Amino acid sequence: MDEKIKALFSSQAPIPDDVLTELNQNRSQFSGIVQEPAPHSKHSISKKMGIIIGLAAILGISILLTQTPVIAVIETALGINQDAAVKVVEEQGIPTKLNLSSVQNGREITVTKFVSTKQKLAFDYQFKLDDPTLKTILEKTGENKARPGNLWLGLFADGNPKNLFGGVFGGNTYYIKDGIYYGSVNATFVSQKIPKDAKLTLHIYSLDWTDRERERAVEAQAKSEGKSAFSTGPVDVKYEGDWQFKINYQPILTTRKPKISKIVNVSDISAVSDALQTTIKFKGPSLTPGTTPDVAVYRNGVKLALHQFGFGQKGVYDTSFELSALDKSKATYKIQLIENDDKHNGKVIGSFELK
Amino acid sequence: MEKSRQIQLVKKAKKGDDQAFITLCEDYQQVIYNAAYKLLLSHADASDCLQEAELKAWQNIRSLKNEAAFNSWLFRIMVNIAKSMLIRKQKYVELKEHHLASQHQDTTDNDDMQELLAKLPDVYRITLVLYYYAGLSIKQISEQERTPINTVKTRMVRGRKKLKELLEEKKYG
Repeated sequence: MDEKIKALFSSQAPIPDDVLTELNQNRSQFSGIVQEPAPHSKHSISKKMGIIIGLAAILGISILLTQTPVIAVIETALGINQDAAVKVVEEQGIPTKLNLSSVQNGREITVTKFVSTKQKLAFDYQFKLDDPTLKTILEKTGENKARPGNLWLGLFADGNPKNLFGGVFGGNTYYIKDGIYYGSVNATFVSQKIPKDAKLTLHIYSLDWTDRERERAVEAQAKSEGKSAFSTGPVDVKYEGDWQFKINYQPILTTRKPKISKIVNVSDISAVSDALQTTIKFKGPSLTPGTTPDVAVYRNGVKLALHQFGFGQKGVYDTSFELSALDKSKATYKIQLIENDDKHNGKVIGSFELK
Repeated sequence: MEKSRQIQLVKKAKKGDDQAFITLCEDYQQVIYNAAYKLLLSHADASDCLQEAELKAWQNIRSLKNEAAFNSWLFRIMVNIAKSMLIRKQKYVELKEHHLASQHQDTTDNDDMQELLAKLPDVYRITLVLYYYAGLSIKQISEQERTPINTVKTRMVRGRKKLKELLEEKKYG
């Protein structure tokens, strides 16, 4: 039996081609990313270099959205400006509206808003909801309410054949009104991939939906049979094509350093805001053996959905959230470092505030 | 990879040579990607995890004192990121709410290995992957996980027991 276990773990599968493509795209960005200095040279770097390094630290990780009051609001709300940072951008009068249409296989999709920094983008799109199957899926309510459609996207800069849309996680929301499907996409890249002065083309290659009621039935069946792995099979509705939108757009380049205060038990804090998010990095205390770390962010006491959370060697943590560099409000953001035991009981072991 | 070549490449990468760093990543991608996949059980998540690990390694490579240990250093970074992703994922699954808009949702990944490993609690799966796949010793796992050696041993025993039960079930089920 031990041999079987060894064989189970020693097996190796080839890396899928699309993953290799993403890895190569990610690697092609390295030359533009500043490296952190060696620890012993930290004190000799100039202030200017420190700022550059601080900016480099805003590079993020994969996004997993968690349910919080903020997300609950976004799910039922209308458009990308439900992202607090996008809302601030719009309030500052920065134009986001577009009216770009593309038709593929008889289906017209219109992009109505687009906004980006070098690392994050968001856009609204819409199409006529004339497919009875999709209508049926989307009209379901309660526990059977459909999740937003999956989108397969591409983003290209003029003169560069590489798809920039690799290694991206994001939030995806929708609502239906008067027979129109209104969708919103919010995506953060693992690095600053969006060029500052290029003409962009956004591609939508496919959209698909799964019937939540059917999906729940499969989940329930698997659960009753004690299976934790199951497949829901093919999607129920899928639109494929290559809808293209030429976006003559320059990312918003404004950055700012928020004020850090009330530091408890953490150190080496860096915080940088761009127009669509704030990225923080800090060092925490040693964890109690057997616990795992987590980070929580509260805006004026309300917990936010964290789009990123990473922890590396020597107790260094990083995350980002929807605080715009253009935000003139006096909101206070409290950041807590938490250690969770095996039963997910959390204990705050460090904190600080941003304004 | 020969250690002398690895050391040379790491030294070049420390000076900002991205091509040297990419060569290092390519040399270890097969092993590290497969480990990430065994931990996260999703090609999309493994891809994101490896991308993030490489990015962090690139940014911090100047802090790596022992050039000959690049591969185990990159592996440690990957495991930490994978654990962070598992924590988030667990919360996501528990809450069953917001849609995760990955570009590669491979919910149909359902081979035998994935099915068995998916039934193992994360804490056992991580320990067993580090031991059997990465070849770390109990002591090394203890250091990596910042967990007492006895806890690692307990997790090994319980993880193996659970896996044996699953293999038996599969055989006779």
